[in-house]
Amino acid sequence: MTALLAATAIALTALVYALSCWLYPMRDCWCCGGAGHHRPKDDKGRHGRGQVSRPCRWCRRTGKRLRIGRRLANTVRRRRREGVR
Amino acid sequence: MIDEAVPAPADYYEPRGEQVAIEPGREDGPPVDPARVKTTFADVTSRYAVKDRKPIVPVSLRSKAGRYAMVQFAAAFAGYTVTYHASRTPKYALKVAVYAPRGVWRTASRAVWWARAEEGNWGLRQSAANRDDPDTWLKLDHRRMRQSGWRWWLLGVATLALAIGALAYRQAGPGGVWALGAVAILALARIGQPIDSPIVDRVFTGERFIRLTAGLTRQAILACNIKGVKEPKDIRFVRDISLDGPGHEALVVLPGGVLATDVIDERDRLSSGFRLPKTQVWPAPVPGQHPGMLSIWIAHKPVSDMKAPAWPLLEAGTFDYFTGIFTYGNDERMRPVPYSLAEKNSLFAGIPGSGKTLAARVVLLAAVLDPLAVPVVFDLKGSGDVDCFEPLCPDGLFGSGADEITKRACLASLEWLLSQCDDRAPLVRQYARQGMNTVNKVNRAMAEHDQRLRPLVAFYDELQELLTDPKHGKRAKFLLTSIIKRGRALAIHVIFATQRIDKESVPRGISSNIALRTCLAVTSHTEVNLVLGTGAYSAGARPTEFEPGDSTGPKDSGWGYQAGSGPTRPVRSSYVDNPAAERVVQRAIEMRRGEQPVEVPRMALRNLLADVRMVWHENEDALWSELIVPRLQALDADAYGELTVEIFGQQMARAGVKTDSLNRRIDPNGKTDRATRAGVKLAVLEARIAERVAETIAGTDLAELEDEADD
Repeated sequence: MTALLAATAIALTALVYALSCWLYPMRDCWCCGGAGHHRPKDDKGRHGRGQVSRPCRWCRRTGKRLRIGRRLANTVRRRRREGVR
Repeated sequence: MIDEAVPAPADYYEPRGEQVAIEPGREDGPPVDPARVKTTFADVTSRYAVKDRKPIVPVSLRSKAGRYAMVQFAAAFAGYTVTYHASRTPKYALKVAVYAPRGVWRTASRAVWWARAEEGNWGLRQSAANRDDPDTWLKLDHRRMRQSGWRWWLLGVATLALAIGALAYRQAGPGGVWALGAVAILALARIGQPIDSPIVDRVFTGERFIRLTAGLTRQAILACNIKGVKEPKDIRFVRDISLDGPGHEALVVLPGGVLATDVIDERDRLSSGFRLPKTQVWPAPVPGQHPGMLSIWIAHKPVSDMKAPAWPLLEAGTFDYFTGIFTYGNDERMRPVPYSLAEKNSLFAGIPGSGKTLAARVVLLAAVLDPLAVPVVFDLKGSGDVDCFEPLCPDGLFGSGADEITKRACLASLEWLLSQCDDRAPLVRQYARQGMNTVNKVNRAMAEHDQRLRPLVAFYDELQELLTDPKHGKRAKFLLTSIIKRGRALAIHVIFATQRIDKESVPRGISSNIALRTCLAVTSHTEVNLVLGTGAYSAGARPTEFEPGDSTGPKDSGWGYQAGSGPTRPVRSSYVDNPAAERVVQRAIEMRRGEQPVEVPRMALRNLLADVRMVWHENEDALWSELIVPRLQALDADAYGELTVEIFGQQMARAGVKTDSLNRRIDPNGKTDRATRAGVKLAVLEARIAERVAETIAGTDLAELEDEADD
């Protein structure tokens, strides 16, 4: 019974996660926090003036990245498409 | 540049004059087209002639029958539809209860979809996400957010306004709230219904009514697979497809070389192309136009299902034999078909069940509504369809049955009619000279002035029984042919109905001299041509397609093609049943009340020569008239009761046997005396009888020879 409940919970969670990946495929980049660039900080962790920011290479300056679940779905879909051809 | 002419061979005859050489590439010769004429103002304005203008009031609404047909159709359709839907209300209520919640969900989701400005954006964002292209996705999302900003505000305001409106409507009372609720639920159910499962059922299971369109017409004509018609553009239209009575008409111009009758011959395929029964599709040539113009009339429903208008003379009205026109019936478009009797004769032919007796009876009913008309009626079927006319017919000129007595009476009536032709002609000449008419024909003035010129309307049903009789047939054919040829100008109209249609029962000498010919349901084109005239079938007359009535129903009973009264066209006779016919005859009797009834001497209906021969004893070679007369009186007291020697002499002279002065022995009491008195010689009598038979045979054989020559 506990296993069934656990499986149901996992399935529901997966379903909700898949739905959210379908509705909102992009999330803020975990590296730059959605800013699209990095600004260096001083020893005290403050952003100083005149400091040169560098673009975030993870999100290519967009600030958004594809969520893992959506990436997985795209990969599966692509593989299926290639397999069908 | 013209090359030099090629010299002709030495033995070739050279025409006089200059030779014209043919240019290379101009083998068709010099130009022959007329010079182009400059268009004038008259040419332009003549295109808008009055006859080509579309009418302001549609043709179908100009006639009472057309308006009535339209209103009747609309009322019947509305009544049926309302009843149909009312009986299905519980089913509709259940569907509304199921579809309304779906409608709520659809309305809400569509509103939110619109407010989020997802239309056109959602798919592009998904595509960007599939390609892992956050830059494009971001741009699209920003665009969507800019658009949705004001939309959410608008949606909120609209929702608020609806809520306020609904709350305010509560003030209208419970009735108003229920009404608003019902409207809202119906609207939501309509939004929520699936495309393939509507709330309201279709009234008709099939496409019973098809709106006639150009595309459909072209498709149907192409379906006929006629040589020369390959593509839709080959078929052109003269004018717009228009409403005409209880149907629509399309006027079509076929490609060059294709005839309207080519399409009419393929009526089955044409109907298949329209996906309609044949009795709804009526192709016909257009009178007065070239043979490549075709009229296709599509009825709203099969014509046999249409209720025909009542006969106009059924309850009231009279008729003038000489100048009157009455409505015989209606055509396929429910237009009245006119019929007149003066100077014409009528022929009705059709297989059993085609309705020819009732159709012919309509003509007779109209005729008797003229108080001057004298009917002569013989029904050799004996079914009793015309028994109601007996009170109107003079004694001896009515018969019903297929027995020998009726046939002899029928033959006697024909003899009498022929004698009427002999008697009337000098009277007509005399009255015409006196100024009663400008031509030597009977008119109303003459008929009112002299009873002997009253119009005679002779009705013979199943006359083939007499015409094919081995004993009386030849004489009947001879008499009928003469009467039909001579009688029409002398106010004698013969109505002749037959179910046997061949050269023996409808000789060419009869059918070709009858102006008004109606061919009801028959089985082959031979019969059609025999009745309507050679070439009628090729010209488009198709009575072969009508189905005779039987125990299951009337079907196409009464329908036929009529020639002689305008163009040959399909017509249906007005339906007048037996009780209605009796009422009409009663009116005719009332019209004649107080008038001297027409009496035909019975003697006129006897064959005097045959009767005299019958009463002749074997060893007598001559007889005085005073001895013949008592014998005749003994033979038939009714006919010869008032016969005198003088009248006998006159009648015999009329029959072609002159009485001579005979010197005979009287033998009273054993003495032999001689006396000279008027009498008849047997040899003369027999010679005249043989002459009449030869005349009959010669006349009949000549007609048969003419028939064979025509074939």
